[in-house]
Amino acid sequence: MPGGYIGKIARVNLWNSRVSCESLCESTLMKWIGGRGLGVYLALKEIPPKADPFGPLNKAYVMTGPLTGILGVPASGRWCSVTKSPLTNTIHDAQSGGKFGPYLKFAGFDAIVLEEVSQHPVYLWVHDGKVEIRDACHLWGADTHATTDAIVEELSAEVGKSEAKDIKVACIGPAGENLSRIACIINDKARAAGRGGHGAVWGSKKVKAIAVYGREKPPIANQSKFSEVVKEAMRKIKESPVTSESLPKYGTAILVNIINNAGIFPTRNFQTGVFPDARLISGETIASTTIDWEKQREEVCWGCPIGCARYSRITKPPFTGEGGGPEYETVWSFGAHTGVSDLAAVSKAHFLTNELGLDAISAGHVIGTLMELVQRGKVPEDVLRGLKVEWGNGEALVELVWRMAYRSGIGCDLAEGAKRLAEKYGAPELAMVVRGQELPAYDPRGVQGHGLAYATSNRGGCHLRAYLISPEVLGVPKLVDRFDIKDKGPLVKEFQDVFAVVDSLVVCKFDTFALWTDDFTKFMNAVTGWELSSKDLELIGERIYNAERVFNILSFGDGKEYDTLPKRLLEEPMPEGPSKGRVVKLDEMLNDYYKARGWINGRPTRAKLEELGLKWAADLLEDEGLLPG
Amino acid sequence: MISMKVLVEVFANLQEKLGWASRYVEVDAQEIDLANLIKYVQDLYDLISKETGRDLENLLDNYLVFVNGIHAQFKGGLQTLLRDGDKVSIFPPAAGG
Repeated sequence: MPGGYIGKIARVNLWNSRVSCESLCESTLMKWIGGRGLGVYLALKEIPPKADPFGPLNKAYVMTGPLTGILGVPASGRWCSVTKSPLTNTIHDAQSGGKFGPYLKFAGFDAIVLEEVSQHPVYLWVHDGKVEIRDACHLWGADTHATTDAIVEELSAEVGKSEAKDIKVACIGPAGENLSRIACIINDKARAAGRGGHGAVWGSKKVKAIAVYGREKPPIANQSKFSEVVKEAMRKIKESPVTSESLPKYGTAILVNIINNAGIFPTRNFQTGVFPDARLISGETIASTTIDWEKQREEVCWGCPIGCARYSRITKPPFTGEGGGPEYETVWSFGAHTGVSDLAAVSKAHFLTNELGLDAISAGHVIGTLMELVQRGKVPEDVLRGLKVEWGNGEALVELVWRMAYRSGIGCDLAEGAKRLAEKYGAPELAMVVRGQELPAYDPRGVQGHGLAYATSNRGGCHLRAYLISPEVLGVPKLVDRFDIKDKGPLVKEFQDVFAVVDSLVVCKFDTFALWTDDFTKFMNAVTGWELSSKDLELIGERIYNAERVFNILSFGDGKEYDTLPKRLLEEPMPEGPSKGRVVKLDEMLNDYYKARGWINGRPTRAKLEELGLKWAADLLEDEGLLPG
Repeated sequence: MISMKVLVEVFANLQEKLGWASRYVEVDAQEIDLANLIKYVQDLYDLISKETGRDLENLLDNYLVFVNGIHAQFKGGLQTLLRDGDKVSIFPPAAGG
């Protein structure tokens, strides 16, 4: 077995309560790495693409990568969940930080596969190379904090009180139990495998939690080479003012003022890109008012030299509370997107999403969708039961988060996500979604390449398939004109492929503000003992992206029809600010993108798939008559 | 007679180091270029010229500088001409997601 891996996957059949272990095949790992890549490969092989996401044929993959839990690899304290999404019907991965990922490996596994459905609530106790299925009836209904505390308390009797701090828990809250399509999995109380409703998939399988603990350490193949690579990477991270100063001090919300200044901070459901009160919810304001610096240190992910995590405390009524966060995406979704400028209300809504197990991006986003539906008279008053659902109302914001998690009243519609909500109330054009997933915190009318990245994202509306904000706004690694469409197709492809590799290694994308493919290749080779080139890694990224697209084509006929954006972003010019008058010029970029990808109308050709070693995937498409050309 | 007024905003650690977030700069001219405008703001110039050079030649490599929300690089760089009512925003290198 190459270095970096434990070499073992556990399959848990929840229907008959059987656990089986299998070893990893090295040739498969060299093609798919781990994390997102390996998860996508397994899903394409094992999940019938048309399977009901909530049914027994869907599977949930809990993945790590070869760099997870390797001390010295910057920001390698992550894990990733892969499943067929109940929100988008796409193949879907959700990445999360914290400490759970490394401890899954220390417990003796590279991955856990959840198969079938359980007949009653269970949790998995994964420790010292074993997986035990335990009853969780007493935990069903509990929020994520109570669940975590109860499991640690229960298991501390087995590992000893002094060791209990090293039991790490990933779990779902009421939102996941209630099958909200925007429910997430929360680990370490405040880190989320957030997007796409993975929490609801666990809920459908009656899996309340996975607890991990152990002392096994993944081996490193070439220690002296590894030490050199670590030294070089740490120098780059230290030299970058982004990773050494801005992110640790102000967190991701340092972006609020930048993005708002550029006129691309989506406000009131993307009706404009300028939020006049942005500074009130900015990273600068959080750092000087609500952050608890002592608790913040505990919040930092395992093995992370950057430390962007926040821990906030609101002491003034009516929105008192405390917890991890908020991050840039959250202060946007609960802030500008809903017109709320009260940092206390925004923070409270964020704390609740962590406790109740909701994706903070989608939860805030869908409330903004509802507010516009109400603004346009689409929602009968009696449905709202007297609640004043209007822009800027922090009280309504917080109440709607509760209602969403418990599917109470209008919350039942919110729990379905923005697309289904807007369709139900007769205004599908107000859903700011791609492939059914809510768009995040950048209005693409002022960042053309980022718009292309949204439209072509295999998991639906997402900023992290290809973070074109980096070159188009932040100038990292090199500034390009954000309004220009030239060369954006190949650039988006490059970012998508590299990010697929990063998600498969599994490390944090914030590494990419200081490191790029060459650095990841060096890490990969030193840890595994392989001799891959940067080109090999890029090819792996491309293979993963194509395999995801194949799954989607088989699932719902994905293709050019879905590589698009909400009408508002294509046809309604930005009304004000520095991006005034702009729309996304998608068609021209899309042609360049397809050319760079070797796709026809959003679908990979047989030649492209065979070039990537995916002849078997081309055969799957051909069997269904879905190969292009 | 004052002919033009430009708003200069700074963010993140620049605010902390300078002790202010924004100020209007008044110049007795019809227009002025970006580099020369910054020289009018003594404490800001003193702070950033240490890293970016006496003539601020490395300013745009070291900081994110917007003129009316647009990157200065795409407006004319250090020679971008500013007029009455314009806004200059300066951010330290930043990223997130």
